[in-house]
Amino acid sequence: MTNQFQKAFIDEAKEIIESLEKDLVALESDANDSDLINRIFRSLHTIKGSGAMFEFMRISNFAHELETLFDLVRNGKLSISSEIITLSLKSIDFLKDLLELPNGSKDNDALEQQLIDQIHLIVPSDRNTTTSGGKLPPENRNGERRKSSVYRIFFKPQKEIFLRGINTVLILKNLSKLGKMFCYTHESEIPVINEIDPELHYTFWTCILVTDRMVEEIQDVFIFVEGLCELEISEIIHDTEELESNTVPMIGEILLSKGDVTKKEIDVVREANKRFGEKAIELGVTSKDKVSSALFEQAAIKNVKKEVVTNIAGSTIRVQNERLDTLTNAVSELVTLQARLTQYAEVKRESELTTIAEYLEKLTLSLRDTVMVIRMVPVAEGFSSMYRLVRDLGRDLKKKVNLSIIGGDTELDKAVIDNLKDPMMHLIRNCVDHGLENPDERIMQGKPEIGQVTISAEHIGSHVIVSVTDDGKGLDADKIYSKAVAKGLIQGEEIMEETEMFQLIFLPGFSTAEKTTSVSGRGVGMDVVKRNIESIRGEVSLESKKGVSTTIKMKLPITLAIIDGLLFTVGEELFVVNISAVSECLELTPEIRKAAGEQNILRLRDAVVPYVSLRDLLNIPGSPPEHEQIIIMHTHDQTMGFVVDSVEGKHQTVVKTTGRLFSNVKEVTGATILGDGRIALILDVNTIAEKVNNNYLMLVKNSD
Amino acid sequence: MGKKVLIADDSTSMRQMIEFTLSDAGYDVVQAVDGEDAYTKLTTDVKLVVTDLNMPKVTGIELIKKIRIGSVNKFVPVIMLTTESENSIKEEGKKAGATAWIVKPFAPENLLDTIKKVMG
Amino acid sequence: MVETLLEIKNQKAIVHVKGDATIDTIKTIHTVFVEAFNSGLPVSIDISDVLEADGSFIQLLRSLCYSLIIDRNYTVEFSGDELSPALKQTIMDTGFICRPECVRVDGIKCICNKLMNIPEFKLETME
Repeated sequence: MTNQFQKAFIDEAKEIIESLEKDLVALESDANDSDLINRIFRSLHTIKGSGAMFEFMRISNFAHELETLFDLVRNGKLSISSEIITLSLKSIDFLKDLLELPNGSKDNDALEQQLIDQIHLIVPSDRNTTTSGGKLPPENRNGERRKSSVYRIFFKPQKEIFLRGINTVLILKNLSKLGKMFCYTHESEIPVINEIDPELHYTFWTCILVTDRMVEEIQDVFIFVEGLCELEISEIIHDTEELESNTVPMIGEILLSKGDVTKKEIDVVREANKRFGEKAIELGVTSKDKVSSALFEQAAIKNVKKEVVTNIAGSTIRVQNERLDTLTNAVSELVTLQARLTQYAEVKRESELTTIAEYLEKLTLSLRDTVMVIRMVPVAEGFSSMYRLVRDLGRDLKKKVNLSIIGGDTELDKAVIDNLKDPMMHLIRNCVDHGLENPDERIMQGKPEIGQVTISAEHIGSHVIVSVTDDGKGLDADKIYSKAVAKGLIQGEEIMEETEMFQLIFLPGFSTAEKTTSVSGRGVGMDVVKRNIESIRGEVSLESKKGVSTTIKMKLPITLAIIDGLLFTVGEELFVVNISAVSECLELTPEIRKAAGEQNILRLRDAVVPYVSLRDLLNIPGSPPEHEQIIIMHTHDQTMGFVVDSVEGKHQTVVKTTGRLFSNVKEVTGATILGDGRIALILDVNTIAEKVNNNYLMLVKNSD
Repeated sequence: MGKKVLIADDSTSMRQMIEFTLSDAGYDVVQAVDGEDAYTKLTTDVKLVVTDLNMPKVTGIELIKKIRIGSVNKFVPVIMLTTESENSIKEEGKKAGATAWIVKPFAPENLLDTIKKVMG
Repeated sequence: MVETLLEIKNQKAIVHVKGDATIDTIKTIHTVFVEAFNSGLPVSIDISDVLEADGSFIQLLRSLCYSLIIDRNYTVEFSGDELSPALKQTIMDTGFICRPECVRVDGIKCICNKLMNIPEFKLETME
């Protein structure tokens, strides 16, 4: 503030104080002169207000005390006594002193307190606590990226609003500055030209605002029309990025959320099987204006959605694979190192060290999560080469094929997608070669001439299901069965259901093609596909309907880099299995052993579960401890128990590939380094189960 | 020529401060020492009135009422200057037809913000 | 300040509005709009010289539009030059321009939007 104004204030305040003195003296002789009292109050009020403006806070605060006293007098709650006059004059003297003092001087503190105390004796102290009136504008949190929300703002000003000097267009303009706004004008109440009073306000609005600001900032736009309008602010979409996956709401839903129609009315209208809006107006459930407004809202949301999607697509950068891998590796090592530090800190019990370790842990985990997100790639990108493949296959095999990808924006770890490419190519070849019929054949069967191959991807829990479907001839279960017998893969005495027969094509050495074509059936069978998928901790299943379709479903982990594992020991060795496969852990008691006899089968509630010693299976030296543990696990087609020495607990594991050394050991899919630097091997439950089945021929079907 | 703003306040220092702030921002300022003075100075070309509430002769509230009922410029936006302790008077001002308010003490930018809010 | 003029030419009632079309002047503008409407002739409006407008003016414009549609099944016509940027902005800000069709009467194209040459907000319906 410029000194010029401060000086002007001091001069003005001196003048005011002079007249105050005169007024106070006059008041002593006529205690009921209300003009005098009002003038005194106003003078004090001016000193207080202007004082604060020009940063004379001490003067302003003191004047406030005295003003409070005269406010009571003015309102007849306090009558003037000589005591009050004396106190006031003393206070005025004090104000005069303050005006002479340089700003912020600490003199006269004792006197000030004494005077204030005396004033408080007269004025009940609770009157002194003035509460803050208007809402302060919310603090802008800089730097922090807030999510964008979509708000619906219904704003209907009173008809007389122009007489308040309020410009409603300006309010809308200010509102639109908060983000992107779509404004719907309700014109239904505007009268015809001969009946309109042009100075009244008939228009009202429903605005759709996309903003990352807080709701308080929206309310702030309307602060001066509070009580002069109907105002309703509702958040209709919490996070616009959700829009990417969500569908745009139906007209009925919008009307319902605004309270324009009831649920029951919606059902009635829906029955009519017509455009909702049209029918609703026809039935008199709602008005044209309300339907238009809802249609507008829907269009606005669509528009926002489009923008969100392009924004997301537009703001990507390309990163070389190696760089991403280097980053992932570095972060994995950091996670390991951090775990070591945490363990060390636990042992050392030094508070400073513990604090550092905890902070580092928080940071590391957030870094790890970020890296995981960076690694995510939409499946459509990974599968784009399939279009070309299908086209070439169709030409070579003289078949007409159309490929569509559904859920192409579903994301998977880049490593998963890379590992998926070969199996996918194989599956697509199978579809086109074996699955789809020749065009003539299709026409004869009343199918469309063009065969359809569909790749679809969807997110389910911590997995992504990718499936490949063709609308071809489907699998012939009997043919598969007899072929498996002919190839010596099964005995030919087993009684199987159709779905079980389908699974036979996953057996090594099985190929259904009667003649080997250039496209498929060159020794690479479905067993390879299955192994590939299982090597990335995925599962494969097959559904087929003869003459209609075949679907291969692959359940895949979202990321390969990290698994939630269960850590256990056998002898000196540490192992990890994927915890999602584990159902429970129990102790191998003598009773269980006794009941099992020679068979190694345990009764678990209603089920019989075979179990196997990992020590024996993996040839680990040493003798088992007295109390062994059994980990009950689900493989994809059975439940099985693994006997281990001891279970250490849950462990979040950063997976490291084991390299060439272990490439022949199919049971081990990777390794992880523990916090203390020890190495644990990650076991593949399905491969072990297979090995058990082959070695011990002890297949007992899970009874559930 | 900037937009014409009429300031009514019995405090000289306040008027000076507001005039300084507004002139600097490109407005044309007309000063009035109380409500009565302000009312006579209210011409059709005044685009905004900024008024204190506690003034001799015609108070701020009375001024707002007079503006709204049959003045030459009854739709003009009016900003009232209030203090924290005047909540009830603020309500009275709103009822009388004030457009907006600003609580003393305020920073000059604060006043300019409020002005932008009511007249763009 | 506002200047209004009603000109009857070629069997048309042409309304000229010049200056500020705001709440302060809206009564004057209303008067001339009513005159034009009551003339019974097709109404044409020249508002290219409107410097400033607020909600009261836009609302009055729509009232005239609507009155003509329900009375004579045709709507107002715009003559004169392009609208001033300020007026266009106001019309955009108030959201009057978003629909290609009249919201009050079925099957009538909103000529206001077309002639004002303001990009309309594409409305894709989906039910």
